[in-house]
Amino acid sequence: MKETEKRKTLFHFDCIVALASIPIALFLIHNEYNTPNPSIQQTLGPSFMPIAILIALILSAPLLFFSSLRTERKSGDDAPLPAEPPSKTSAEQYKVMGMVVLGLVVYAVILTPAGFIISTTLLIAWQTQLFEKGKWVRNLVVSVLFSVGVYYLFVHVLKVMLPAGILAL
Amino acid sequence: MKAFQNRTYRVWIVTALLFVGMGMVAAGAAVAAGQDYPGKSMLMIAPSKPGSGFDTTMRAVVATLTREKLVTVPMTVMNMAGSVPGTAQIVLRYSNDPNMIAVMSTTGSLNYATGLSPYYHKDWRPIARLISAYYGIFVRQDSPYKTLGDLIKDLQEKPGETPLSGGYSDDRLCYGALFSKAGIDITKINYAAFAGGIESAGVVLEGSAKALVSTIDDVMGLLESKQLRLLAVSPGKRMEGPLLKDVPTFREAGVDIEWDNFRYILGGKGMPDYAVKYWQGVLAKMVKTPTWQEMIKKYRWGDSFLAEGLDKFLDEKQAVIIDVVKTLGMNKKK
Amino acid sequence: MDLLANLSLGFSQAISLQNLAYCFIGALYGTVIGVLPGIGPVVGISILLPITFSLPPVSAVIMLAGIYYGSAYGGSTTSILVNTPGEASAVVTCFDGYQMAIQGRAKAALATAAIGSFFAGTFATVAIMLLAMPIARLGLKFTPAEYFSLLLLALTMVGTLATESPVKGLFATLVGLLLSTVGMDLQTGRVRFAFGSPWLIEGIDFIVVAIGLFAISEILVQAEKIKKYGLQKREQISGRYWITREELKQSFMPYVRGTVIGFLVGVLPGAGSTPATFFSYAVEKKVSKHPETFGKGAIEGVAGPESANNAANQGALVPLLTLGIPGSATTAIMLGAFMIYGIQPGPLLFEKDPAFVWTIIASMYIGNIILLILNLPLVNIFAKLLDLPAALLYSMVLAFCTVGVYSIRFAVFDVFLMIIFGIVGYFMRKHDYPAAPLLLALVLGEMMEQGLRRALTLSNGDWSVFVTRPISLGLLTVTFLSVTYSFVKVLRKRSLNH
Repeated sequence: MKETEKRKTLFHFDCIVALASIPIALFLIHNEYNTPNPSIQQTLGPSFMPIAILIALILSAPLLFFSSLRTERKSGDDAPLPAEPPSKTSAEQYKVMGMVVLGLVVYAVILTPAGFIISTTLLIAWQTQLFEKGKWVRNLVVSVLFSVGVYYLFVHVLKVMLPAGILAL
Repeated sequence: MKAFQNRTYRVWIVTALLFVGMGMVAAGAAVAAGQDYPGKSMLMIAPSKPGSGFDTTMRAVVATLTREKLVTVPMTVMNMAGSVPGTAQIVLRYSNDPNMIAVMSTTGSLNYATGLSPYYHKDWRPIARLISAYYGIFVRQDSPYKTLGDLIKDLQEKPGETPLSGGYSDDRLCYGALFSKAGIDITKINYAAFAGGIESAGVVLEGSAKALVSTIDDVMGLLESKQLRLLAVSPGKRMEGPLLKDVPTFREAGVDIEWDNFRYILGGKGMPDYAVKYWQGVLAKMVKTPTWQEMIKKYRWGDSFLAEGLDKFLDEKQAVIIDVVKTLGMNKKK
Repeated sequence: MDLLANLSLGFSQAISLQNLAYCFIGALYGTVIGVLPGIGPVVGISILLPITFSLPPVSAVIMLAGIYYGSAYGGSTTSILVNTPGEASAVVTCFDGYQMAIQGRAKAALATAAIGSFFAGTFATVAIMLLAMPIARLGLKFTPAEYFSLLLLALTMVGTLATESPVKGLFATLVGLLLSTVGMDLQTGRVRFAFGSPWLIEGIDFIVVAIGLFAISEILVQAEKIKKYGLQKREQISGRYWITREELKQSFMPYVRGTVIGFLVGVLPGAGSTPATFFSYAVEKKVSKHPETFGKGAIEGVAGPESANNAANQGALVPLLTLGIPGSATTAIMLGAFMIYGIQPGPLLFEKDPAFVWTIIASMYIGNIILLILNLPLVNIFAKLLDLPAALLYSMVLAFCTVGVYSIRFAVFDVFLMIIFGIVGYFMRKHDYPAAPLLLALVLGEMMEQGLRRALTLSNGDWSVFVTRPISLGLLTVTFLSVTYSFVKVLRKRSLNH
């Protein structure tokens, strides 16, 4: 039961990839084609490689489509098994992952205005809560120590500038 | 889960607002009178990655100013991803910050001419030109070309069989300006572009390319070890040094043009006059110090300090660059 | 023999307390830089440069060299422990190194990486000593045409790494190639696929993609598992030795092969150590009696590439020291440093200032020893890191990744890019799209394309240049044979199944 379930997901996904890649590739080819080239002497211009790759992608899309169909049709043991444990990702799991991503996105946005130390402290606090609820004190302490430590390491030891933001240290 | 998130969120929003508030109060207090300039720390922007030309120049400036005690406030060097996003950040974020200066070169004019960047020197306040790097046309030691004229002749008659190599941005400007002045159709020239002068030396040493266009300091080593020979150099006057003093300039070799890759310091467009004057003064002093003289000798830069007339110089350079770019068709838009 | 005399002269100078200290500082600094994801020797060396001005040239170069090969040692540490490449050349170590850590064999992985690096570093230095000039001349023969043929071979070789689904491997390769075209084209100055973003004009950085595809996706996978399986601790095998005799035996030939491959690839100006690691991995997989273990914790997959990494770094010094032409971005910065110190690398250097050159070479031997002594005991400490509460570990990894990525180009844009590739990487793993071909294509794509077009520019449009030049012809032939062979194998498998 689990195997066919997994293969159906595979098939589904590959199907989407194969089908979606064609219009995307066509759009990109159109884009490339319509960009004018400088009059510099060239046997192969800058458009050659991108367009060649995109055409190859368009040609491989049906290959991908049909190979995924073939995997679907095979039954039982001869079909190659995927590496990840076979299970469908539930909505709740997606939510956790989404929160991780959200934390990273927010971090990227506030990094420059708020500065490295504040943003990183917030990031680590957020992520540790996601992975392991409770243990507030430990998490916060680690966050602050880590952020300050890394800041010191990068800015004063390695001499790589990090955003100081509001603290302007 | 939801309730927990709400509380956390609220705590963080309040903390963030507190910090922002404190910061604004602090900043407001620091907007002191210009007499105190620079007052607080200076941001020195090198709009490219560490290790690049901008970066080394700016760090050299900071090192000299520090060692010679010409500037006492802390100076932090900030790098950027590249000249295009760098200039965008300078204009958009720091135009009105008097405590920011940055370094720029012909790259800025080139980016503007090709349309990569919407900004050029009129979008900021040029303060002073510091250094120039000069170009040379090099050939392999045993090459049949003895003068620049020989090379030009071959480029006229059989451009397809006379491939050149060099860097991809400002080196291209150099050969573009040089050879168009010499009357060659530069769109017919076969030019293999590499990341920099020294990287493009390989194909010349091997023989696939007939000549190299590069800044002189880039390939000085190959010149010294006699693997490359110079046909001509780009400045207005002859250069100094045992290897360079006998090399004709472009003008002497028959093409009425001089060329260089200059680097200059600038401030934001909204930089007040007192700040500009301050830096012009400091930099004028800096270029006379022994530390700076040592720096430019080490890096093999040309000392070309210019504060008065810098704007006019930039205008002229920009016009020539736009011309070359147009001829090469590098500015085409959809 | 003259060689020994020179070498002993070099050693006598290198062993001075001062130079030893600088060597150690450089090696330590380099290791830290290598371990930190994103920030690499390029940034590290160029920022430290002004500080070295006040040192005597020999000491300064010893320190820089220490940073240089020190970073090669450190990069694999985070690759193995948390699937986060410390620098581009450590990406391949993620493939099997991390798997080994999951299986509790982190110590063995770390140890084999350190030993392999030492092996390669030492023997590569010997090679520099004996073969520098002739190899450099050979390196010069590699014109753009040869680069194209070589990189084409590399791409096709790694294409065979995708065992499960060749079509998906092909897809991944093509996507990687496409990503490599984003940005400014050097030959014409025209920008491709930037869609108005000033950062995309500068192209997509390989390490950003690698960190996203490996580290971030790994964390997402772990996040997914929390609900179902709780947090997983990696129980590490405890024991007195870091690595068993059996594992050492398995690692030995990969060390040798990796060193040779790495050195030869490193000598080619522009190639760098990253392609060398991919090459080594592909070769190890091809010659292995158990290729199916690769990707699941085969120690050869760590031993080979790690040696190749170090050997390539040393190899890149060859064109630098003998001809004055840098072999990679890092060596280009070192060249700039040399010129500032007043040293002119090139054929004259060996004649004019042999004491200098031999001191450097001697310090390379010493540096490698220092790094081995530094890194082996650290294996235990690093492995202990895995005992940290997973929540803290993962969060800190996330923070390190974002900071590291930011510090490459000081662009928040890159952080966003990393996140996007993290999500992409997650889906790729769930649906069996191999990351290796994508990454290799990304690394090699631009060089390959530029090689192709430069070759045609130099030959004035003459395509025959690829087959009339002997080295290029040889490489293309091998490529053709290898592709045909794989094709035949796939067809045969298909017909057997029917």
